[in-house]
Amino acid sequence: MKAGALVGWVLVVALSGHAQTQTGTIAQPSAPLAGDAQKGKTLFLAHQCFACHGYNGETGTRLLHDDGTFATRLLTVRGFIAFIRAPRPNERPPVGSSVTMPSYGVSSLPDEQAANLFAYIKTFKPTEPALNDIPLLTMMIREGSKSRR
Amino acid sequence: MAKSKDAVGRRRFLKRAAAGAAGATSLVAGIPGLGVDDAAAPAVVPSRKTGLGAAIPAPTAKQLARDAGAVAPPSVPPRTVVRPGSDLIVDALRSVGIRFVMANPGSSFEGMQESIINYGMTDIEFITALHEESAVAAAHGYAKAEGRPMATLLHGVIGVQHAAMAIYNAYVDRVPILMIAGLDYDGPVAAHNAIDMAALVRGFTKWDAQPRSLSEAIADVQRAYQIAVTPPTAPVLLTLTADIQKEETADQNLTVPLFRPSPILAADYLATKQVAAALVNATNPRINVGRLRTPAGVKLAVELVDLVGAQAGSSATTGPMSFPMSHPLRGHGVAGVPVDFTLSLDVVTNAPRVDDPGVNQRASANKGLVSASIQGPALLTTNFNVNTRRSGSNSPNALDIEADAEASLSGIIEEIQKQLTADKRRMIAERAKKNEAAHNEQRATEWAEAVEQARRGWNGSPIGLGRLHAELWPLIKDEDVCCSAPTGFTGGHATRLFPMDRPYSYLGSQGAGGMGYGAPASVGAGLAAKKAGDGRIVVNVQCDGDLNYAPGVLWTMAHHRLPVLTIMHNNRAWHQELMFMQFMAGVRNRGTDRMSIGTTLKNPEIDYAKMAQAYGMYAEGPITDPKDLGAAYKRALERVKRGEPALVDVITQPR
Repeated sequence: MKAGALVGWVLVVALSGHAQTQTGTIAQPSAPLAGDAQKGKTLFLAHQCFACHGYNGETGTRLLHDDGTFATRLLTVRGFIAFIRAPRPNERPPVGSSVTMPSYGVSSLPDEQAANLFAYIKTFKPTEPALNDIPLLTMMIREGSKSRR
Repeated sequence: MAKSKDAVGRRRFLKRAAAGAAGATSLVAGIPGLGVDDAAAPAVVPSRKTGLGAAIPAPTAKQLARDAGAVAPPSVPPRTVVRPGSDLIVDALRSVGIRFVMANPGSSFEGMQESIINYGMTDIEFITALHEESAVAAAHGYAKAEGRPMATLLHGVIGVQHAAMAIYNAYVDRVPILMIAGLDYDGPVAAHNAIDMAALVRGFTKWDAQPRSLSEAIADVQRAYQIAVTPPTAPVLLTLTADIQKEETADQNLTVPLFRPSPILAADYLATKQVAAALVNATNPRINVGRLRTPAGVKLAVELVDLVGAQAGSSATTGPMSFPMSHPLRGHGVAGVPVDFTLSLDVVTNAPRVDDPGVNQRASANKGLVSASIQGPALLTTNFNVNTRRSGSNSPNALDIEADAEASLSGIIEEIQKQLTADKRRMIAERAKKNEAAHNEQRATEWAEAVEQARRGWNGSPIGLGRLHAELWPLIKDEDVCCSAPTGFTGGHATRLFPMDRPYSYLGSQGAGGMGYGAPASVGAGLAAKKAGDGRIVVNVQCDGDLNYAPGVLWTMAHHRLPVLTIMHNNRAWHQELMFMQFMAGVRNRGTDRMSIGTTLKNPEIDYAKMAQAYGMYAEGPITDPKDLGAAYKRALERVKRGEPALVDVITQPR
């Protein structure tokens, strides 16, 4: 890696406030970050990311918006990696049971794998039609809120 | 040649059959009551025909005469009990209104079981359970749907231990159940007995007793019922010896007294007057209706809210016996108008909050009473953490009344009617109109949000939980529905989308969070629906992990023809635990790629439609295409409306 690129990366990460991993080390980009979506799919299933985000990022804690855009942590691969390294950079992790986002250190999910995962998630496309295009739901809106005694 | 071989074979067969018959006769000889003279038993004759060296006696003349039908029946009849003690126990169960007794058979209560089947059959039905935990959990569901208990029988210490988890759930949930454990000192397995049977579950039963006589047992059944239904309502356990069940009472002058239920503690006169006055004089009163004891309590709560035109909070989306969600006065009232008096009603002390976040709780300049709560008493302190939160206030403007809310309502209503003037009535009518308009607006917003939630992942496969519920909506929107299973793991869509207007619309959670509750609780809800006989159906959105604790309840549903529609939320995992494990692995920086171990139900996948079919139930699935849901539901509902259960297996998104 060229010195200028390294400085740039450190600056970006430092400004984002996401540089610190849970173990206190600085995550270093160690591989090209053009991810392989097919490998990412394998990782998505193996790590069971769908547990919280659904199989298409549309259910549970949503990754994908109606208009096909993604949650802010999925805007760039660097941002994504910084996020998974420390989902709550300014908080101590909960002591008790939690269903919040797990953290992934470099040893448990290297940058290359994270980039693959990122590439796969970015292939998601919305499956949800607009409400007005779903006859059942429009009927529900029309009829459903009537009060009864 | 072939014919000759066959003939030889037949001869051998006949010889062996004759030898076997002779051997059987030797077993019969000496059995009292068969008209065979033991003393005249013949000498044993060795036989070589059997090839086994066994001793074969020759038949006696008496035996031959008996076999020919030439012997009169014995002069001493076999032991016959004309009026067994258990018949009177059944009468005692009748006296308190028990309609169902659910059990997995066990010799320690064979007397009771026989009495229920042959003596109590006209008005008490024996429901067959495949596990004691299922029996108690079904009684849990029944009590929440009905507001009154059913009974279960438990076989000795093994039955009590099997039932323990379900008893704990019911105890924490403040649900009344009348449990009877059989105890047979002469039973086949000594280890089924205990000196103190109830000790196993005493920490989480409200009361137990082991009567020493039949007359005590009769009194204890009525006492047990009374204690179970008196707040704090909870399970009770009666240990009944086999001797009491089997004793002959024909020569005794024992009868079951008329059951006179004791009054349940209501708010005292002074408190009643204070609450009534506060409601009459408030400019904008609010009544938070939590869980009440019975449907009669819900009716009274509606009457009270209507009487004073108050805005009403409801916990109908967290459990049974609360205020109807689509009642025109349910909601947070007119925006910006502060509430100046709040009355909270609840059967339990650690009830979930029913406060509506939209309520403007700021008190007005009212210097008098600004809040009152009528809540049932706490359970006795035990080894278990069951009284976790005691609501209340130290404010001099707050009144905390430890009494039964339902029992207090009639007095409050009566007192209000005395205090209302024509002016007050006019003011109340105007307020009610405004609250109704606010309700309509709020409900439209809530409904739009509920529908939007249902849209999430609409065309996804696996199928989203929103669509799983929404496809059912047009089929049940006008039906009388009881949602029986907890919604904590199914996204809460059922309580947002389905009608929540009856006391039993939603039965709430497990109580203590013990899994293996939803499916058997649906059996209890099904029994309540069957008893109602008015077309009520039960919708059970069933988590796969929960069903696998005791899937035999599917057979019980089929056998007893219960109108239960089970829709499988088949995400092939204990998903909450999976997420916990993922987080834990993250904390330890070890990666989450092995967290499926011990948290998922894959390899092999379970086919719930086949499982249900094997138990004798109509079933379809697994369904993976959301477009197939509506038609499958329709077919299944047709069965349910005919009074039988059905199951639709749906492969779902995790959450």
